[in-house]
Amino acid sequence: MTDDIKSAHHPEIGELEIAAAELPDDTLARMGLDAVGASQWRIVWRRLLRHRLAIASFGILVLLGVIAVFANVFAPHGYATQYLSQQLRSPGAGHWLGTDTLGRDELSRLIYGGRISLAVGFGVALSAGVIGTIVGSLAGFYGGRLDTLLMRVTDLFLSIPLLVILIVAATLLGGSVLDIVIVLSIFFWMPLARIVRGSFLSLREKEFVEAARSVGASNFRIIVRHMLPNAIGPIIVNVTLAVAEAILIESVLSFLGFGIQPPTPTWGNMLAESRDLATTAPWLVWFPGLCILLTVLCVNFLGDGLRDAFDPTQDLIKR
Amino acid sequence: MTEPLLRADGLVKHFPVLRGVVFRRAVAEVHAVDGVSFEIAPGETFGVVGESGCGKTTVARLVMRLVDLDDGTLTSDGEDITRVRGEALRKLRLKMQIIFQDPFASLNPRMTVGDIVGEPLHIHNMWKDGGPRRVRELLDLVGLAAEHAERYPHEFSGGQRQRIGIARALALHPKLVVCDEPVSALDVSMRAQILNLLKHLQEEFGLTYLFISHDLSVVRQVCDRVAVMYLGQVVEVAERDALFDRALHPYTQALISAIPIPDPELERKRRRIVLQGDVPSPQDPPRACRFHTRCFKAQEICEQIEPELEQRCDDHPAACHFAEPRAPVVESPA
Repeated sequence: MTDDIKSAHHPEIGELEIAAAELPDDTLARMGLDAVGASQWRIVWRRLLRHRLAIASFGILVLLGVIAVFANVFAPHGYATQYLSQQLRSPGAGHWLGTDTLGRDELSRLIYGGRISLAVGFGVALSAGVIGTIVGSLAGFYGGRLDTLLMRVTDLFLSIPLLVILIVAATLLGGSVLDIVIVLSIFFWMPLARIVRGSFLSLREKEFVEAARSVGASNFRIIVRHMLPNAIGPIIVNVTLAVAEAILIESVLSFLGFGIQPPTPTWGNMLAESRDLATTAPWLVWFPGLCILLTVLCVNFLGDGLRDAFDPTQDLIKR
Repeated sequence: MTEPLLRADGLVKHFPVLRGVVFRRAVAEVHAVDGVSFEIAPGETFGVVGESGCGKTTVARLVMRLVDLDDGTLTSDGEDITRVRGEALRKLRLKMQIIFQDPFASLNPRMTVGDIVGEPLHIHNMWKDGGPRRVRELLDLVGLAAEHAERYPHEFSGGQRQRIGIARALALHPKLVVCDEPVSALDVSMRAQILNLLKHLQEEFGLTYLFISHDLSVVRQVCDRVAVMYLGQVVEVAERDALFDRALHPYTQALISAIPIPDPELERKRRRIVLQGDVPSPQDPPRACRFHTRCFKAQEICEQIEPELEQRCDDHPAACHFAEPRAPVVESPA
């Protein structure tokens, strides 16, 4: 009977064997059964490594993070140090990226600004991602009254105007990065909750979920092992978009008097302050904008790569 | 008959038809399963046949306790399993497993084959005790190679996927395996292989099958006893040969007369019973005998009194007021 099966192999399997032959020897050796389970993450990692753009983006993000964390080492000047004789210098020697209206070094401010912008961007995206995924999973998995309740709460949050809450929060809370992350997270989880709920509603009817139940899997196991991995694509896309949005919204917060106050720089408030100077000192608009753009692009590419790496049906040789 | 491995007594499952967005209310009920009873003896293959929508799959899901019963009782080995929950239900999974119809939908596309087959072992804390070896053994048993454990379901053909499903079902050493149309999604060439595999596994492990199918030829090949379902009810139960040679219920007779005969000479002489009309809606099944709207034997009594599923001749119950054998589908050449 084994012979019959071999002859019944799909052509794809033949191709995959060729792909496997290109892997290093030790990988093949590890593909034995003893590695079941533990190798799952290694497979994802290996697939991600083949996604060059994602890995390059990952590298840039790490670099940006390191520079921001060690800003005091990398920044040539202090972020609040004013060089009063050198206001609005265009980029050049001494001040590589120029200076602003108060004569502060733009490069140094960008480096320090990265601290807050990156922390807010990733902090909000991750915590809103977690809240949205949990709410959406519970609503979609259990359905019924819990679903109705959670979805009405979601609608409620969507219906509250962000600005009203921000103004209230500004008077009640301080302006630390943590406060900003908390307040913004509260307003970023709803779209994801709806998306996750939607995919769970359709996944719930899948036969493999019933199969998991029939071998005795708990609800928790079904959600974590069977349904979430199949909903990972939309979750990643949504979370990566939230990073960009959070970085921009943070600047609105500063504008309203909540959050980071001058002279502490963030990419968002640097961009906001330079609005009026777009024609006279365009570099003050360009560089913070480019930083945000670079971060957002990298996060999106990384998200793309992760989504593909998690999906075993994707072509293995994707570049 | 010895103590049955599984006894189903008067199973009832109605699904509500919901209307409305904000205030959802049940406007009707689909009578998916309406009073189905049967017994399965250890080691036998008990078939359930019927056309689509007659409630076969719901019976499978009820037996597996994947959906809750509205009424009736399920007994396994003398133990009432109708309402077991939690830990007791988990224990029950060790005894009863299911093979699904669609091998493309029943395997999680994000898990490797090894994880799929090994999952029951993880859940029942049997992994540490030689789990990887057991997975290898199971794959070998269903005719796959141990290397396949690291691959994903989409890399396999339909027949191979169904083998993976079978390996998963066997992982816990079950006594009863519910086969819900295990070959209907496969190419004809694959069917025989899978059916032979099931037969082989039954001999090796003394498995008992509840075999659900709409394909009478398949049922004839694998089943020891067969129940015929129509609109959520069992209309006839018989030993395989008794059913195919001496069907008592007019519906069964019509089904059997529709099986094509491979011999063209005989095929031409085949006398088919062609039923009129469509299957009535299970939301509003006909009163009394559910088959009377399409039956060629229907009389006034059929619209008034529901026929009981009772013994007609030796151990051959049929639910019809006019149950009697029909002349053979093809006259014997004698």
